[in-house]
Amino acid sequence: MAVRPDDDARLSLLRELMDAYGHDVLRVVYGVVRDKHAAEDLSQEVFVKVYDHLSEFRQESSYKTWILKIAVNRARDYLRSAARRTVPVDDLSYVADGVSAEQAALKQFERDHLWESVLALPDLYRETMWLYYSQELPVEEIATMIGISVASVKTRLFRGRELLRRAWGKDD
Amino acid sequence: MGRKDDSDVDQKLREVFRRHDDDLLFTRAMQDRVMETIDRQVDHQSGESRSSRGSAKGLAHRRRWWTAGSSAVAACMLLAVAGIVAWQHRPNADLGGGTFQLEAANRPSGLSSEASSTGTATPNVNGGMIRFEAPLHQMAADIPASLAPIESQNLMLTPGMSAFALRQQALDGGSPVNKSTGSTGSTGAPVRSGTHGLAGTANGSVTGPRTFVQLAKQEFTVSTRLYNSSDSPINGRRLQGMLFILKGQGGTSPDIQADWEYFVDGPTVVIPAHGSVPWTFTPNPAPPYKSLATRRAHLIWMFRNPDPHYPTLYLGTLPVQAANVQLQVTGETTEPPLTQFLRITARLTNRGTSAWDVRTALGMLFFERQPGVSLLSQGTYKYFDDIAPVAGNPTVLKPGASGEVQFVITGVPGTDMTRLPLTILLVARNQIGA
Repeated sequence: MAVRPDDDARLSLLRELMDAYGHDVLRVVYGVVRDKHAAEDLSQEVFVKVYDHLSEFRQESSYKTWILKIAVNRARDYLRSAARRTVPVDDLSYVADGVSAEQAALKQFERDHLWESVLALPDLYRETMWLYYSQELPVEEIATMIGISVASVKTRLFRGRELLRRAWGKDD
Repeated sequence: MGRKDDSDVDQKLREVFRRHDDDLLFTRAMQDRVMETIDRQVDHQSGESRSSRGSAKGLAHRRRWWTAGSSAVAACMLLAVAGIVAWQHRPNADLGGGTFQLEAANRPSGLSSEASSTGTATPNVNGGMIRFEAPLHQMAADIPASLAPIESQNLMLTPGMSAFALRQQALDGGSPVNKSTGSTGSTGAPVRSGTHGLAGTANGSVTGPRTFVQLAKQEFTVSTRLYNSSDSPINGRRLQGMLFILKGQGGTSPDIQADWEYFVDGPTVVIPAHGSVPWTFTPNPAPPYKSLATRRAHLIWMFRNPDPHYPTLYLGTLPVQAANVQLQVTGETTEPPLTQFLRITARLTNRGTSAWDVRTALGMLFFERQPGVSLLSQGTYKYFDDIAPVAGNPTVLKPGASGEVQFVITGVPGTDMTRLPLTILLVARNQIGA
């Protein structure tokens, strides 16, 4: 009778999943919580949760989608529990405030500036845009992952882009 | 500045993300911390269990449960099982000498529920059958399973569907091919019917949308309250049940082929210590309603993973050797989701000293959705099926004699069952009913 090291197999699979999707998880979590240290801690929690639920994975999606969904949910829970303040949409104007049109034109493509405006997006849009631009996931997969319709994903991407346009002073 | 089009914004966003992504790396140190956390978690859980077991109150309750379950345990310890493991592979796959030995003793014994079904859709029988050779090892081992301290109170059969099943049917619009969130036990319907079945719908056993083919009218619902007689809350997801719909008035085992057997999931809620929760199950397919008056239900609950603090079921072996396990896809539905109709055959040899009637055993078939998962986990599709001799083969095997038997089942909709490793266990009917 052979011995099946079931737990060892799970741990081995977990290692593989961390190798394959660890960076993605960290980036997605960071995209939601905007705090690098918190994102690192949360990402580790995500994989502990993945381990706990490996036996329940039903192959109705890819491992990546499943894990990123867990990551998004964990990050959302963190935000809720921490009662983090969401930057109101109107606050985006600060990004371009205080500078002349010329200065804004010069700065609007600067990395930090752009980055800040992305981070200042409301959670709703930032999360979707992060999955789309950072993870380059198709809208269908994003819809499955965060539990909304494809149309809603497209709407959020559209509105997110509009907000960034405004923030970057790209509106006429 | 002029308004930029989406592609411009898209490009800029991708650049921004790419640059910042480089600073966000899930390092090996983080991986190691995950592993350490899991180690601590396991240690902690073990410690809690030890602590709980050591309490006087806990011991008292455990003793009470033992009393209630002792006969069941004794019966289960005699449960005779022979196992066949078949590693299915594609016709052209290289086995690489990959014989697959049953690791039964290490599998968290379990039986889970899943839906398989025969549908109302018309099978499209292919002219050319697909045949799968399967390397095989006879199991000469036992399978550990832990009996859960769950009592089924007020267990009854009632005509019609459960509210959950009705709601599901309403959502599905009553079409033959349904979307179901109900993961329930699978069953091997009587072989003579030629159809094998889907699980039916159970309340709360939802782990995600699942497609199944509705096989037949859901005639009745099994309802009960699941009482946790232990001192600790039990997550229903840890539970694997076996439901028997018995025709006979005595005993608790599915002794005859007219009995029906199902693998069923536990509830998705936590059952509090010394508390109970409602549970229902609507079998599909099911015995006809008109015969309900003579039917009784019997439920057995086990942990999906062995729990050392509860009585262990040791499943012994039948003196039966199995060889030449083959799986054939005999047909498939013509409309999505694709559903395969399968015939699995094996050659059994009686290695005992007395004659053995193959009809006195039940087949448990486990298809692993992911290689290596435990048999009783939610990672397997599980079937009960009667064992029937292939035409021209004897029903009773004398000592040393061999005969070919078959199982006829319906695959899980949308799943290529031929890709999944298969494990078959042969269980003595009269000793399974614990």
